Amino acid sequence: MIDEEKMNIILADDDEDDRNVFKQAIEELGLNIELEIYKSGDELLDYLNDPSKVELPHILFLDLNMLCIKYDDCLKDLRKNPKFQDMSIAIYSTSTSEKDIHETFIGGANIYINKPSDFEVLKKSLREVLKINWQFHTSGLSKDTFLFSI
Amino acid sequence: MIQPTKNTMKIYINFDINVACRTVVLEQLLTLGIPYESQDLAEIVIPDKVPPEAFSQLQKNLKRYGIEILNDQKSQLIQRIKNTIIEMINQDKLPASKISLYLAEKMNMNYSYISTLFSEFTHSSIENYIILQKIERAKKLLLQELSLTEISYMLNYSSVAHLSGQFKKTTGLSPSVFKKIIDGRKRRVFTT
Repeated sequence: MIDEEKMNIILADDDEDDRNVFKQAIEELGLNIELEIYKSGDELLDYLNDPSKVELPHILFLDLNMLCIKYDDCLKDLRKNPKFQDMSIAIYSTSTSEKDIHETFIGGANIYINKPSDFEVLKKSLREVLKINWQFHTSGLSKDTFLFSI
Repeated sequence: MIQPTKNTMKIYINFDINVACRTVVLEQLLTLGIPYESQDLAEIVIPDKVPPEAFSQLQKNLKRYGIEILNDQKSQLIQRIKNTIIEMINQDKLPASKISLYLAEKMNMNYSYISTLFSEFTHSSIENYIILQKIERAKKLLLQELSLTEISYMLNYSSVAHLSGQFKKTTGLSPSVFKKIIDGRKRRVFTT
C-alpha cells in the first residue's frame, strides 16, 4: 500500500495484552513498518524529548487512559512542543462517548480510534488509519485540520 | 513560544502555497547562481552542466522547506497528476466536465493509463485521492464560514447530503462536528 518508503510508528500503552494485540495486528498487515513500543507515557516522553532524537515517528498511537506520572497530560505536553507539530497523534481508546472524542480532538489529536474488541476489525481500522495518514504525509496536506475518527 | 496574554494579538494569515513554494525554489536558484527557465508551476529547466556540488546544495536547501527534486520519470508523472488534481480542486468552481476527461486533457494522456499508474505507485486510487483533496478543500471553505450549500456548489456535489456523506466517510466526522472541534481548538489556545 505504501510506496517503498518505510513508515515509523510508535505505540504507548500500559496494558500488556493490548500491546501484544496491537503488535500482532501491525505485523499481520504486512506493510513496510517499523514499530516501537513504550509501556508508559513517561517512558514515551522521555524518549521523544531526548534532543538526540531527530527522527520522529510518522504516527504515534496513544492509549487515552494510560498512566502518566511525571507528565500529567501526555497529549497536552506533546502538542505544546513545536518539535512534534508535524507528527500525527492517534488516540486509542475504549470510550465511544462523543464528549471524549471531541475533547481529545480539541486537545490536539489527529485521529481517534475506538479500540475494537474484534481482531480483524482492529486490523481493518489500523489499515485505514495508516493509509489516510500516509496520504496526508506524502501529499503535504495540512496537519492542523487533519481529523479522522474510526 | 509566546504565551498568549493581554498584550498579544492574534493575526490571521492567508497564503498561496503554490506561490510560496515557487518563490522559495526560484530564490534558491538565484542564490546558488543557477540559471533557469521556469515553465509551469512545478517544472523548471536548468542547464545540464550545473556543477554537481551546486545541484546537491540546491537539493539540500530545498529539503529544509519540504520541497523535493524529483529524479525519476514515474514519480515526476505521479506528482504532475497530483498537482493537476490540486490545481483543479482549488479553482473557484470545479470544471463541469467529467474529472477523468479533464485530467486526460490536461495531462494529454489516456485516462486509464494515468489511473493505473497512480494506483500502482501510490496504492490509492485516483478517485480516492480526488475525494481526499475535495474534502480538504471543503474543510478550508467551512473554516472560512461558507455554508454547505455554497461548498457543495463550488465542489460540484449534487446535493448537500452528498457532500456531508462524503465528508463523514472521509473524516469520520460530520462537517458541523469538524467545525466545532477546530473552533474549540482556537478558543483553547487563547484561554490556557
